[in-house]
Amino acid sequence: MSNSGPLREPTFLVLAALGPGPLHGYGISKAVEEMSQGRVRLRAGTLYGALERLESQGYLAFDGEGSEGGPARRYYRLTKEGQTLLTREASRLAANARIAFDRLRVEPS
Amino acid sequence: MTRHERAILWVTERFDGVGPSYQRDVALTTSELCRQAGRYRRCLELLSLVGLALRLRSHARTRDRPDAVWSQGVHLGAVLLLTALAAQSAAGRVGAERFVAVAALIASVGCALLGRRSAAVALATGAAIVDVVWVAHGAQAGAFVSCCLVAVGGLIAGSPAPVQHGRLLAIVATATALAGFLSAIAVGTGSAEAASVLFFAWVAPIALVVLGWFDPRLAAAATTLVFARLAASGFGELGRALAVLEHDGQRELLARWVLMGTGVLGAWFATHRSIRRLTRL
Repeated sequence: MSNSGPLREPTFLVLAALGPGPLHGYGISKAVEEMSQGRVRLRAGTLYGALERLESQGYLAFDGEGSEGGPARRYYRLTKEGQTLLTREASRLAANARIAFDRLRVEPS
Repeated sequence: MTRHERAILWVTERFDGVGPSYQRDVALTTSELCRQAGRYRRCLELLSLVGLALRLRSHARTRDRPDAVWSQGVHLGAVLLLTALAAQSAAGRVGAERFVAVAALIASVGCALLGRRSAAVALATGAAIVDVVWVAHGAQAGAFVSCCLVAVGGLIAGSPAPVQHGRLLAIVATATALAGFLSAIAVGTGSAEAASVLFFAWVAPIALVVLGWFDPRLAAAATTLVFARLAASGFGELGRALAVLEHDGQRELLARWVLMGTGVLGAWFATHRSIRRLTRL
């Protein structure tokens, strides 16, 4: 767990997608697309690359295999460290957004 | 099963350091993401899987340690350099001594790929001696020996990756050298030599730097290849280029030297950036 800088957007969205509970790769991809209102579409290589890095650094964990009537899928869940990382990054982004709105003297839309 | 799905399976089956369930899951997710996608997006998805395969291979073999990345990359660069020298020699003018040098270079590549470092170093040194004594003269011999020295340095300084298909790769290297020989027969020695120089001096390093975005060992290998080119013709040329510039105002030699120097720095920078990217979230 060596990360100290800001997260890249796909990584942040992958962590956020797993906030409510465990998901499989395709579920994460769809959640990211939905959260970003279609703006971010993760390619399979990008998605699994991010999952592999997050898992190897202890922010995600393998949560077993399951199937919903189809072939078995690998599920991933956030670890405690992953939740802390996501909270810290969300706070940093929110603080920056507040500063920008204050400087512009506008209300968030 | 469509052709695209077969291609996805082929790539995912080559993932290193992961289990079959992971490979199946990635293949399944990719197929689902491509279900209603057009041909362009399907191609991009497939390319992203190739990038992931390279990334996983690098992770499995180096554990993302920068020293392991450089060590394996430099070794790979030395092997590619020896292959390039064998192909270029085979494409050059024919003679018994030339065949001895080519055979020694090919044997050196085989030994390097099979993890026999001392034999590889001895054979590469032998090829350099044969070339400088019997085959080439003047600047040509200097360039060949410089490249051999860089390759020997790479074999000594680097360490081979745990290769699973050493014999297959040795056969590919031999086939590459033979292709140089056959192209010399088909299109003439001049064209064949020019084609092999174009491939190993430009096409291969650029391709390796691009793929090095996913597997930094490949960018490190490109650094070795470009550095060998600089060592072969660049170091001696700087003084000459500056002298010519002073007297005649010709800038081509200096521009060539700057281009090669920039190539080495560019490949080194690409390796460095790629290593940093390995663990960045």
